[in-house]
Amino acid sequence: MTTGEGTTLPSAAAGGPAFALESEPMPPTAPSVLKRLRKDRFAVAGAVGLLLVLLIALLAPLWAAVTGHGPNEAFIREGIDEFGVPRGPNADFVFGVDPSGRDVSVRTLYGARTALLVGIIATAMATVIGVAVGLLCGFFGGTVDLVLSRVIDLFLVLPVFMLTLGIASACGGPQGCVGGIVRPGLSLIIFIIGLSSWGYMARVVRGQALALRDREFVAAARLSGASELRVLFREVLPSIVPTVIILTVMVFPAVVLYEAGLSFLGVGAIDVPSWGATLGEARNVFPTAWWLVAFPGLFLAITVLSVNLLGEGLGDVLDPKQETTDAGGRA
Amino acid sequence: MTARPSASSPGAAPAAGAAPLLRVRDLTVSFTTAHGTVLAVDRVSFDLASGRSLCVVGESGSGKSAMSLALLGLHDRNARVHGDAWLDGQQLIGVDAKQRNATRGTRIAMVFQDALSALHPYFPVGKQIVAGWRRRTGASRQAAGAYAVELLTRVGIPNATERAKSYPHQFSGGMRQRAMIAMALSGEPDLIIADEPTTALDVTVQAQMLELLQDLQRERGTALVFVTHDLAVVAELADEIMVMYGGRKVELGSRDAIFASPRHPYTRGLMDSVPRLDRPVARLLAIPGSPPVLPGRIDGCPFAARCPRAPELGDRCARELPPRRAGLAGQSAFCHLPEAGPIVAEEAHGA
Amino acid sequence: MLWLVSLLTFSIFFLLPSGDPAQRFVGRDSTPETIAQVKQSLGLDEPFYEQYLKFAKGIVPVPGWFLDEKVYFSYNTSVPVREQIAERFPVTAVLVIGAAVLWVGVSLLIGLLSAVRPGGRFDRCTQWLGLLFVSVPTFVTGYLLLYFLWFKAGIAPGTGIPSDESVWTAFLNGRFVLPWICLSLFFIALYARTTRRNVLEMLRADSTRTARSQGLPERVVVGKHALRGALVPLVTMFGLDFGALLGGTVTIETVFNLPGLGQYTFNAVIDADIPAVMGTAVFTSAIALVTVLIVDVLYAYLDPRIRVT
Repeated sequence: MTTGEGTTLPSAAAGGPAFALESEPMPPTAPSVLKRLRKDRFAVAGAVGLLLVLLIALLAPLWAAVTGHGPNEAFIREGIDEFGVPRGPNADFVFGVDPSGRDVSVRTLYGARTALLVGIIATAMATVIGVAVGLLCGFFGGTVDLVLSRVIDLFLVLPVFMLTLGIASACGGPQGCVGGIVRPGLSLIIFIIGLSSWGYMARVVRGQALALRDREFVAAARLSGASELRVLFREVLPSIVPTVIILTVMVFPAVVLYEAGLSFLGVGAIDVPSWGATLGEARNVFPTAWWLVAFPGLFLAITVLSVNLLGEGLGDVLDPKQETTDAGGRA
Repeated sequence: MTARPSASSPGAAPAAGAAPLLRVRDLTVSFTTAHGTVLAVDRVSFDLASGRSLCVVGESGSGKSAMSLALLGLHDRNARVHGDAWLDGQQLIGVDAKQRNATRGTRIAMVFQDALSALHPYFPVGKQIVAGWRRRTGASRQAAGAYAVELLTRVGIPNATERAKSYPHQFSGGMRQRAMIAMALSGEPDLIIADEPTTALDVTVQAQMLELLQDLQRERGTALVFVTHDLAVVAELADEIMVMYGGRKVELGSRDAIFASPRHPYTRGLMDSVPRLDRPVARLLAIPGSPPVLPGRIDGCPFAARCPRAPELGDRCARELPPRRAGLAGQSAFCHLPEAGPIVAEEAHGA
Repeated sequence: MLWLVSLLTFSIFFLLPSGDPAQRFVGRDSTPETIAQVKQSLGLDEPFYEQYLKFAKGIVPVPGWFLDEKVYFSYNTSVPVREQIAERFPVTAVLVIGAAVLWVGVSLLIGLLSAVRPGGRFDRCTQWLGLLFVSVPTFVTGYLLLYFLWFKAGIAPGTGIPSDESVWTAFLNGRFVLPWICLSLFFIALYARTTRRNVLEMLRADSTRTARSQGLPERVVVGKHALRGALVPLVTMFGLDFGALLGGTVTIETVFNLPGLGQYTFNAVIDADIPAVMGTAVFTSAIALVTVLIVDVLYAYLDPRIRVT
């Protein structure tokens, strides 16, 4: 140990050993987060799964070319047998054929695209709107909050599912709605799902923003003369990022499942292959045509599970208080 | 959680003269954390006679809380406790759950620091304070209720019958703490360990609390281990004082001895830093630096890095375990400085 | 709130072009005159707000008025909506209540047991399983259950409720068992996780340490103290989920062919059967509101800090 000079004492920095008695919660910086994530088996498994799905989504057209079956092409002769029952997995149709005669394997791969597109875009939509509204409410308070909160509540209470169904089915016809502006298909579904999902995020973000507004560091920033907007962006926004990330990771699977559910019921995006749709088509031929359930179901499960796993891992990393694998230490 | 009594004496208390109620030998508490093993308490030993009060003094991080929790087995799951502690001959460390539960409440009871978080928010106070007692005696609800009221009255809570049905959040801070003391009394223990029970209270309430504790002690002959960092409380309450730093005991002695002539530089620093009303003070003295963040076992004196006198001895303080030196009337300090007193033979770090 | 909901619902459906309800009401063979007549009797030719007002009256929960027959009259089936809801609701109710009992019991149990040994084998197992069941949509598990337990093993009854069976008989016949399991799995996964987290948090709390310091045996500490503290947030969750579910789970009912409220709503929407849609919207919102009220009361009972003295 180095000695101090004269009567002044060596500071603790020079003296004390380096690590903490209680592990201080590290502020989550991107590199530290990634590092810890890599160590978490859940998260790694999730990441792998997601990459797999991404891969097959990208490779879908390639597979279509290889097999020579397009995603929407019906192969009645080769695919459906004399009794009108679709054939199971064989050399020509690796995953079998669906009741309309289409190649399940190709449709499954293309289904990945649908799922990911819906997932990403709808989630992004929900996140952006949710965060924006939540922040505005929480931060500015007053009348802004009053009005916007009612809007949020409304969106949360609306029988959204019903409305979605209604819109999806009504506008699903060839002429669309609202004078043809609202057209059937994937974009509509994405839009509706996005609209249904932002409420929850807005609520949570609002809560956090409200709490943060009164915290000291915000007051400090204000006192130093920063404008309201600046405080909003530089102080409040970064603090809610971990929460938002976790929420986003929660919303994504919900969105994917929502789309699958809609397609299952027949009111999803009819212009693109969707796992849910194939699952829905299976209803009447089900116990025999097991391949209609197994493959889309499997991939759907993998996709959602992967994101949930990632979410688990992220949750543990970003909010160490929530680490629930051990009892935690206290001195 | 694992805890082992020391290998030398698996359960039998060492024979002693006027047997003290509590004997602690080489009590060690370590935690395994993400950063490695941390020693919160390092080979602490002391005795406490029946009816006496010992104040354990130290800054946060000195290990005083960890030590008191270890005596009751209330430490965290990832803690390892070694050493011995005998209460009237009965081993406290490393015993199984059944034995531990038999001791808790009946022979040793604990009073925690923050009564608001220590009490369950959803149960009425009366119910909580006699919960352990009721379970042990199998008493009826009415009997338990009556006992609760009795206890609350004894600790000076007015309208006890009403209060017993109230919830913790409806009590004031001082009353809550009294309720905690009532809880500790419910099993009529021989020893009460109080972990900074007055820290969260303001001064007047604090004074009442101390008075209450002293009354109760006198009345029931209960021994008291009082953990605190507040010297004013110590001056008021203690029969004996144990100063801890960095997990180690650095000084132990009677209150008068320590206040009159503190031997260890840290104790001196503590005494000096308390502003005195009877003398003009040029500046407030503080002990520069901050308490150590504990690594594994350190060889030297834990205070070496901050000690103003350490440089005089080169790096001896940092490298060598300080010997035990005797002061007034059984006082002992662990220091390399000769002026701390004559070296006394080490008897396995005994008091 | 109910007003706003119904207003919005109505507006949206009103604006949707989904075929002429009058025509559907009358049926295939119809002359323009009949259609016009029907339109008039149904009030379809009245302006927007007048039509809405009629519906609005039906929201008031006064026996004569609530979903009154004259207005809430299904376009498609020509039967009062109220009757149809009364017919369908028991199915949904049995489904949801049965599942709820199952899932609450199981998740509390699993959550408690996992929390007692966090990181242990049971815990890790259930965590993985939990994640799995949360990720698989109910219709897939439905299929799987049907496949293995009905098709292959033959121990469960198939889908649907034969029209001659009452709900009670169907219940006794075990027709609800698979749907219960299916619905529960998802929620068990969710609730067990939350229970576990809450119990763990309670176990880490100072109050648990105090309880232990009194010498209370661990199972009392966990079973009484920790659980009690962990329950409260769960109650809120449950209330919301339960209320929402009572409105009908379309997917389960579709997979298992149960004639419940969910399916009814679905069909109503698809066919743009406005009174039916409005009726169910009002009904489900009402139920949701009632559940929320009950939850609030329960919450106050459980958490004394909320009560206003």
